[in-house]
Order: sequence, then structure tokens, then C-alpha cells
Amino acid sequence: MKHKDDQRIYPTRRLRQTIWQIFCMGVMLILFASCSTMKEDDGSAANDPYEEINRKVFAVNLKIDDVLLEPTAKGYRRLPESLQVAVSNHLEWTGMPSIALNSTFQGKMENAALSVFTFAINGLTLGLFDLTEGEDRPEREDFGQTLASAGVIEGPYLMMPFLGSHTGRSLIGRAVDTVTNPMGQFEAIASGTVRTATAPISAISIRAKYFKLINDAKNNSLDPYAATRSGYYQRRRALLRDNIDDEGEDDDSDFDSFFSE
Amino acid sequence: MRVFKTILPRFIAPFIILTMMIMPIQQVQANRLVDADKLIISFISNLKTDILDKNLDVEERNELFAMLIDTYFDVDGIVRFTAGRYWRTATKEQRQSYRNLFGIILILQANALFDQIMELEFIPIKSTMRGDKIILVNGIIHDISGQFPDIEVKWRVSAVPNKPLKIIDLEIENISMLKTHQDENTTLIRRNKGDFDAILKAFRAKIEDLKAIQ
Repeated sequence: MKHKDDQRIYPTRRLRQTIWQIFCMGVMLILFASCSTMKEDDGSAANDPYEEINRKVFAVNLKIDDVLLEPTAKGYRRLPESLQVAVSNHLEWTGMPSIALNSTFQGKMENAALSVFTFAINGLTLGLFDLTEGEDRPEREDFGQTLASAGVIEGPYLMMPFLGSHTGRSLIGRAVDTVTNPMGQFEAIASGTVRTATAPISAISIRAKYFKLINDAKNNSLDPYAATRSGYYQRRRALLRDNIDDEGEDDDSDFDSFFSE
Repeated sequence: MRVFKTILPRFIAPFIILTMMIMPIQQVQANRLVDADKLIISFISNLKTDILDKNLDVEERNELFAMLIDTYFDVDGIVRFTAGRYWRTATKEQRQSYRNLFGIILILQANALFDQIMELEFIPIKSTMRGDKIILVNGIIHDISGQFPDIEVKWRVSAVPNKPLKIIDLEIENISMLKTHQDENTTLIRRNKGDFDAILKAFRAKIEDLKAIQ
């Protein structure tokens, strides 16, 4: 019986990997093709050669948020706080193997060890409780950051259906993280319910966590798309600060020149 | 003995002079950091005592918000920054309209967030100089109601020599409000082929929206 199951799962996994590979190559092509069209003087808009398409996708994502995500997140926020924290802890815990892998790729062995330690300790509760609270937290490292460390260019800004803001590089990183994360492989052989529930729960948990910030960008911005893109780039560059010397430089030269007059 | 009479003074004297030159600069910088902390604490305190603790109507609250913003924020710098490169192409009248309308939006947005602000308190942690003219005041915004976890914030304070310290930006979870406004505004102007009046039109529409909410 077990043998039959394996036969059923492995071809599907291989097919999925092939699809990812083709998808990644496609994105790479788009990424390199668009480099020449980038402008330097328009802030985050400089890396957005597909702005018109991205805006259409954003409009669809906003509709999904209005109809589905925001009301669900609103309801989710009414659940007991301890339950919300447990879900958030579990989702964070499932990302630890990926952090360990990417930290290793980037030579950040201390961070890798810390994530393995956190994963092992919190694994005693399936990640539902944070038993390492008060200790150092491993820094988030994804494959997009690993690519950045290796000198791969950032690529264009891409607004993806359901997934939201990405750069070409971070999208490839996300795809690779999904395939390589051992927890993802575990979920692939777990029951269908677990497999299909993880992504929506993660989306709802994040939407609930940043409920007011996202609503503020959605309702109070002159241009919610530009605000979302700007926010994404600022957060992403803060994450990449230690991966690349000249990206997201931790200085205030922009402000300095404006406020010295 | 020759060492004490001739050689040591040759090395010590320049060292003392250099130290005397550097120390006041360091002292001034340290004082500016403390002053920046005080500026933020004073702003929050005034915000709470002048606006939040009183039962004011919307108009009165708007007036007080305007006064506080003028006192504590470098409004001219903020306005210039948020228009980005298009500031240089704008006429004098367009700049004046931009300043007035953007100021109204800031006040109305602050008023729209009134209920949230009431529940928040700021705890300063560390201040650092960034370049010559910017101080970053790091701290935590704590939600008294306990609804939200603590959020790491950074206030950016302009510290131009011989000018009073003024707040220019608030950064929440690595997202600068100022940079976000700049990206929004410049995107809007760029999409309208560099027409500065387009942003003024959008500001007016936004003001109507925000007033309707109030």
C-alpha cells in the first residue's frame, strides 16, 4: 500500500519540480530582458517596467483582499490571542529549515546553527509554542537573499496574483525556498488538508498581523499601488542590507541632501 | 631629562590641542542626541495633553494638529522631499498650493488615525547621528490596549547646525513615511507626464475623501 502511495507522489513531485524549473527560467529571461529599460531617478518606480500589467494584477489582488482576506482576517483577529500567537509561531517554525539552509549558503553559520536550535527546541511543540522566547532570534534569510549575496541582479518589480509584491530575484527565491524547504517536502507527503491549508492560513495570519498598516495603505493612500511598491522595496532592502554592500545602504544620504538647505 | 623637556611636549602638545578641538564637537553631538530624544518625547506628550486628553470637536482638533506639526516638524523640508525631482519644475504658485494641500492632508490623516494614536505610547531606546545632519531616534511604540504587539519605530530628526531640531520622518518596521509619500507623489506626477497640477488635483480629491470620513 505504502509502495503504491510512493508511486503516486513521486511523479507528481518531479512534474512540479520541472514546472518550477521552466517557470524560473522564464522569469530569469524576463528579468534580464528588462534590465535595459530601467530608469535611475524615480525611486521604486525605476524598477517597474511592467507597471501597467502590475497595476491590473494589483487591482485583482485588492478585490480579493476586499472580498475575502480582509473580512477573514477581521474574524481571525477575534480569536483568542494565544491561538493567533500559536499559529504565527508554527508558521515561523516551518520556515526555520529554509533559514538554516540559506544561512549556510551565505556562510552565516551562527545564524544557521541558531535556526536549527530554534527548530529543534520548538519542534517539541510542533512550533506552536516559542520555547526559546527571550533568546536570540535567527535572522530571516531566504533564497532571494542568497541570490543577492551571489551577485544576482534584482530584476524588475512584479506584482503576482495572490502572492503580492516581488522582484524577479525574490520570486525565484520564493520558488526555490518552496521546493527546497524540508517542511515543504514533509507537507507534500502529508494529508491533502494540511497541504492545502498552510498557504491560506499563512496569508490570513500575516494580513491580521498587519491589519491596520495594510488598511491604511489601502484606504488612505493617494496611490495604493505606489505605496505598496514603495513599502515592499524599503522592507526588502532593509533585509538585504547585510547581503549586498551597495544595496539598501544604511545611510541617510537621500535625506541629508534635502534637509541641509 | 631631555625626554621631558623637548620630546614629550612635541607629541603631547598637539595631542592636547587636538583633543580640545574634538571634545567640544563630540559634546555638542551628544547634546544634540539628547535634545532629539527630548523633542520626540515632548511632541508625544504635547500630542496627548493638548489634543487627545481634551474633548475637542474635529475643527478644533485640526487646528491643534496644525500647530503641533508646525512646531515640531520641518514642514518645508518634508514638502520639498515628497515632491522629489518635480519640485524643481513646479512654479511658485504650484509649490505654495502643494505645501498648503499636503499640510491639510497630513492633518486630516492624523485626525483619521486619532483613535489609534490615543492608545499608543512611545518608549525611546537609542539615538544615533546619521551623517552630519540627521539624527535617528530609535524606540518602541507600545499599544496600551494590548491589541497589537510592540512595534519598532525610528524618528528621523533634522539636525542642521545652528537651526532648531525638527522631525522629518517616522519609520515603522523599516518603512519610511516620507519615502513612501515621495514614491506615491512622484509616481502620480510621472504617470501624468510630469504635470505638477495632477498631484494638486489628486490632493484636493483626497482632502474631500478624508473630510467625508470625518
